[in-house]
Amino acid sequence: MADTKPKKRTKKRAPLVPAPPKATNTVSPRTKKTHLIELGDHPLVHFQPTEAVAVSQSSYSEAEQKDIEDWWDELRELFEQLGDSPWQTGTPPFVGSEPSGFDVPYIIWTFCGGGDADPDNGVYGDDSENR
Amino acid sequence: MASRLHPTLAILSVAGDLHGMCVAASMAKTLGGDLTVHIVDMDRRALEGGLSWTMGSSADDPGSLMVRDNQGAWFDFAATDVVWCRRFTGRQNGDVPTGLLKQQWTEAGLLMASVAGPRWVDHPAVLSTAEEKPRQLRAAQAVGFATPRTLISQRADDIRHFVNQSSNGVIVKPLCGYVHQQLFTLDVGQDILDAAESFQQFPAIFQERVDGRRHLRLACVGDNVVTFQIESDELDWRNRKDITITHIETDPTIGGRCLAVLAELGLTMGVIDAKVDHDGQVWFFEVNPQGQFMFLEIFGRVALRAIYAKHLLQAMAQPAVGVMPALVAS
Repeated sequence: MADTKPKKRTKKRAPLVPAPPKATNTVSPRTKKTHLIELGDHPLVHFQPTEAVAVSQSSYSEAEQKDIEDWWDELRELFEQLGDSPWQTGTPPFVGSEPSGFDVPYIIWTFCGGGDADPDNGVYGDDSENR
Repeated sequence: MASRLHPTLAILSVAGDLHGMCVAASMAKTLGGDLTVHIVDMDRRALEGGLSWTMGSSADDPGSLMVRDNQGAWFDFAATDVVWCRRFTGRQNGDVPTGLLKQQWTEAGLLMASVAGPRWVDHPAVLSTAEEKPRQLRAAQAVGFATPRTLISQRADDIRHFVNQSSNGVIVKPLCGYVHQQLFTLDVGQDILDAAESFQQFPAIFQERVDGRRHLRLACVGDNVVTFQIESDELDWRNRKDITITHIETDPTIGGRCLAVLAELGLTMGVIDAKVDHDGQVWFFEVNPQGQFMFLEIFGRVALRAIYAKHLLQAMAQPAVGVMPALVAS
């Protein structure tokens, strides 16, 4: 008797944890479905400009350039007087260790705000600076 | 000016942040050897230590909280007159992939934030809530600022609908900064709309675009509002370094609104970003409670260091405070 009784249809349970998205770590050029699933590929990250425009000394007049460099030197002297000079510790932002091709105004931009985050230093990325 | 013979200032910051050091140097210039400054890079605690909290044996005995500064000196944190909270982070340089150090140092930081005694400029609990963009926009609206129509969302349908309803285009920006990469504000073009489903990872801020090339950055400290005009055709002026920064006179109405926004948020300092449209209307975008300002000093030719130093010295003249509001660990 039991053998002939129709089997009960059991309701399929939904998994407790949703299945992970399938192989979607790249944009498919064929379908053009740009659903960027991989973490870190959020559009806010994905579509960022690749490089910022650096400033060069030629962006400033001779007098301005001198003022900027004097200001920077003043900071250096100030810290040395205090005995707490980051220039002595070799921390990246400082003249002498700047990336090649960049000059004092760029360094100021970068490490006095408004500039690029230094991934190793993390000074500016911690700031919620955005417009 | 200071209430004590030998006032003590602690500056909580992160490695390489020149702002704390510059203002401390400016204060030392005023007070000379009478001022003791302890700079504590919050993101280097795991590498350099440290914190030691002794719990009292009774309610009458508060115990003590000793903190180690960048120079290796231990100091009584509760006896500090003023704590300038430039950065309050549990994130640690050299952290392990699991984020163990960040987690532990976030909790440890809460001990510092809860100790009675120091006057905070500004307290981490206040900074934390003041960072919330919706709260900032509401505060700005309340004091009369124009603010762009805003959507904070991760739903693709809502995002597309918002864009379709906006005649002048839409921008997108994150709810907060990201330490590993600077995230610039972007125009929401078709490429981004095509990827709208990917916004599901976290909500972002979408706002109606404000046209114009006159960006304002207003450094607000105590009762002072110093206005800088940044001329740039870029949506986000940080993307270029060859721009013009000019110190301009602060419009009394705008300055008053800025201070009112700070008051609404419980802040005593902050840097406000705004923009002037083609009709001369000033639009409030956001306030960075501890925004960057040193680059404005040299490019805008204003001694901002002295203004910040004066504000901290005035805070030192205030009486000590009781236990500060609790923080929610993040």
